[in-house]
Parts: sequence; structure tokens; C-alpha cells
Amino acid sequence: MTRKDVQKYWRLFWKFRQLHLMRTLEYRSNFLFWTVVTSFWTIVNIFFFGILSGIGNGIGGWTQSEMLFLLGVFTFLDGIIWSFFYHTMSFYTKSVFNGELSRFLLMPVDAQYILMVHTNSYSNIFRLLTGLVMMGYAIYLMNIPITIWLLAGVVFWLTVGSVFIYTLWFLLSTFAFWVEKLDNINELVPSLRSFWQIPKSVLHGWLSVMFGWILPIALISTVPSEYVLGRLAWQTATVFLLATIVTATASRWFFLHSVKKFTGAGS
Amino acid sequence: MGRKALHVLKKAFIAAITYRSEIWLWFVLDQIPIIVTMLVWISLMQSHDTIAGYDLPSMLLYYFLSSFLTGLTGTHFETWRVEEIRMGRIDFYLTRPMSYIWQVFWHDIGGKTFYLLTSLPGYAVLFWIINQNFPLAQLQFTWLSSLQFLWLLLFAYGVDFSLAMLTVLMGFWFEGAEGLQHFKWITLSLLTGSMMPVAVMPTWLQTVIAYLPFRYMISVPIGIIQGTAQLQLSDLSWMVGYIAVFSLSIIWLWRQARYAYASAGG
Repeated sequence: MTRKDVQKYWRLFWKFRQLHLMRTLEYRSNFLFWTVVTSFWTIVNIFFFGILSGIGNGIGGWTQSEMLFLLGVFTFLDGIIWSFFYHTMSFYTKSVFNGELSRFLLMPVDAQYILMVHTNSYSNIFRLLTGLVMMGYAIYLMNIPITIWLLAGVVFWLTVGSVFIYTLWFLLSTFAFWVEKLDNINELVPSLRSFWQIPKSVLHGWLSVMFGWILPIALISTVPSEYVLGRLAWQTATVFLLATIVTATASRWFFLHSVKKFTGAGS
Repeated sequence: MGRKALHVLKKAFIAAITYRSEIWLWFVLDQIPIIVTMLVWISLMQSHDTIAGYDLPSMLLYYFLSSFLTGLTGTHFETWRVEEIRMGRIDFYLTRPMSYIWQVFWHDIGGKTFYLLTSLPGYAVLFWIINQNFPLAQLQFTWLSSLQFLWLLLFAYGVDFSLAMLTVLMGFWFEGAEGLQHFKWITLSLLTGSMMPVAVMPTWLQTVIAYLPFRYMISVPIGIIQGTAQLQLSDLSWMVGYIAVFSLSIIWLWRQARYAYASAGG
């Protein structure tokens, strides 16, 4: 990929954001309504875990401030999921079923990229901001000094977490090429979110092995939080990083392989 | 009414069979948050024998029953029913010998019957799996508690259906009224006790809940079969009153809604 390509993809990304912002401003009351809805869900979630983390030794041995940071990570990633991934994946599977994907395959840019960035929702802005505020406030409560390494590490692990969620979801959605009427596949990853809403230490036995090592979704919020708390084990970090690389590679390969099966007339 | 209702119910039951894999998938997906919440409580209970009067077996049973009751009494027709109204596809219901409201009701009962038949084995398996790993508390069934529990099941369904129907009726005036169902979910998860037992909640919220009908949907029925709650005559009269208010609101809104409806064929 040349420098010119990178610039083109960067410009495309922001062009789509601009287009969607214009569309959002056209339906302002709709935007306000959904912003209120997502804000309520965020508040209910914080309320629920706020009560639980105040009981005894906290959830999985995590104190209230530590849980606040973890919930901040979860809320921020939730904002990304509902702003980008959910809309993208819903469109992706539908476009495979109705044949609309052809339009994207013919564009002079990478089809997966354009599928990923061409749509989004702005109704989760409050959720994204709340996540950031929660993380910042938890750091303040725990008296953790803010350094460039701390910020870089948080950004890095949040990016890895987002990539892991996206590629895992994309991998599952690509089954739409092979299985007819797979509408519900897009509900699977959102349902699994509960596993990264809690510290990994809550899981025991085979659940811990399954979601902490084999398909490490329980590490998505735990890893950035443990990094900030200064207790991220290198084994955990390696497993999470490797899992992300594997799902990213597998989802890309599976997509390119599946596209060959696509006839353009819908599956 | 009987034969007409049975016909709609049968039709909905057959339609539900078509979507059986979807129903089973939703059943599995719906259990994930409950299981994760149970794991959180298991973790919390490691340093406590009891929390707000619940020991671990009774807390796990609480969440299992909460999931069971939510599955049994929940309604999920708002999205497609609002779309049906928005797209002008309810004309023929207006000329049939059954009101649109009753059609929605019996159709939902038909789907619910299929869900009940298919999910009961699933709940039995889930109960067995949880019980094998973390023994659940004993259910305390007597004739009286069973009757009270069944009555509360009907009440819970009635309230859930009423809220869903009110949302659907809003579709006659507001585009995207189906979004209002999120407020139903938020209200019910917070005020019925499905999120956590009422005794664990802050005192101010317990006071609010005590004045609302939603506690009769999850918290009270579970309390009855856990032997920690009893229905009084005053509770019954409150419930009847609430159902009457919901029913009258639906009837009134439906009367207004018919005049707000217009559709044009091409």
C-alpha cells in the first residue's frame, strides 16, 4: 500500500463520517431520541455494577475504583460496537443475501474496508464520552500518575480489543455466504458482551479456559484495565494479542475465500 | 370469539414453528447475561454467607427463576407491529370480525405457546446444569403458593403485553415508535427485580418500587415460591386496578388511533 492509498482511505473514512453527520442532522429528533435511549442503558449498567462492586471484596477481587475503570473500558467499547460494528455487520449480511454486495466489490477500494467504514451511528456519542470519563475518573481515584506510556498503552489495548471484536464478528458474519438466512448471527457477539463486562477472574473452571484462553473474549476489558493497574501478566497479554492476530488473519482469509462463491444474485 | 381466537392462535403457532431455529437461538442468547450475573454473585458470595438475606443457593435460584419468568411473560412484537402500521399493512384487520388489539393478543399467545413448549426442556436442562455445579435452593410449592404464582404469571404477561401494545399504538402517530420499547426494557429490568433482588437495591429505589405494579412481575412471584413473600388481598386489588388502567388506556388509544390511520394502495 502506497502513501497515496493511505491518504485515499483516510479521506474516504472522514467523507463517510461527514455524510452520516449530515444525515443525522437531518433527523435531529431521531438522533436525540436514540441518544437518550443509549444514555439510559449506560446509566442502568453503571448503576447495576456500582451496587455490586460495593459489596464485600468487590467483583472477582476488584475494588470499586478498579471496577469503574473496567466498566469505563466496557462502555467505551460498547460505544464503538453500537456506533460502527452493529450497523456495518447488519448491512454486510443483508448485502450478501440480497446481492447488493456486488456494488462494493466493484469499487476501486478494498471491499472489506468500504464495508467497514461506509456506515455508522452518532447516537452513541454519550456512551463513548461516558466511557472515557469513567476511565479518567477511575485513574484519578486510584492516584495513578498519567504518563505518555500509560496513555499509549490504553490506546493500544483499546485498539487491540476493538480489532478483536470486529474481526471475530466479521468472521462469523461471513458465514452468510455459506448459510442461508443467517440474520441472527449479528446478535451473537452483542450477546457475548456480558463476558467482557466483568473481570476475567470471575470466571472459573472450563469457562475460564474457554473465554480466557481459547476464545479470549473475557480479556477484552480486563487487559486494558490490568495494564493501567500495573498487573498485566505477559502471558495474558500474549494470548490476547495472538488471538487478535489469528481472528484478523482468519476473517480476512475467510472473506476473500467466500467472495469467490458470491454470484451477485444473492445467496 | 372462541373459534376466531383459536384460529389466530393456531396460525401464529404454525408461523412460530417456521422460525424455530431463531427461537432456540434467542433462548440460548438470553441465558448468557443471566449466567454471567450468576458468576458475579458466586464471586461476591465467596466473602459473604448471605447478602440482603440471600445465601448463594437462593440467589442463584432467584436469577434462574427471573430468567424463566422473563422468558415466559415477555413480549417482543413491537418492532414488526409498528412497521406494519407505518407501512399501511393493517387495513384488512380493520374489516375483520376481530379487533386489531385482540388479533395482536391471540397471535402473541400462539407464539408464546410454541415458545413455552420448546423452552421448557431448555430451562430443565439449564436448571440441571446449574444445580450440578452450584446446588440451587429448594422450591417451596404449596397449593396456595402455586395458585398465587400462576396468577402473578398472568399479571406479568398482562402488564408486559399492555406496555408493548401501548408502544405499538404510538406507531399511529410517531415514526420509529418501536424505539419506545427500550424504555419498557429499562423500566422492567430496573423495577421488576429481574436485574437484582429488590432487597439489594438502595432504599430510595425500594420505596419507589413499593408504589409501582412492576414488582408483582418478577420479585414477588419468586418470593412466593422461595417462601419469602405472601400475597395479601390488598395486593390483588392493586393488581386488578393496574390491569384495568392499562386496558382502558389501550382501548382509549385504539379509538383515537383508528382515526389517525391512512393507507393507500398502488
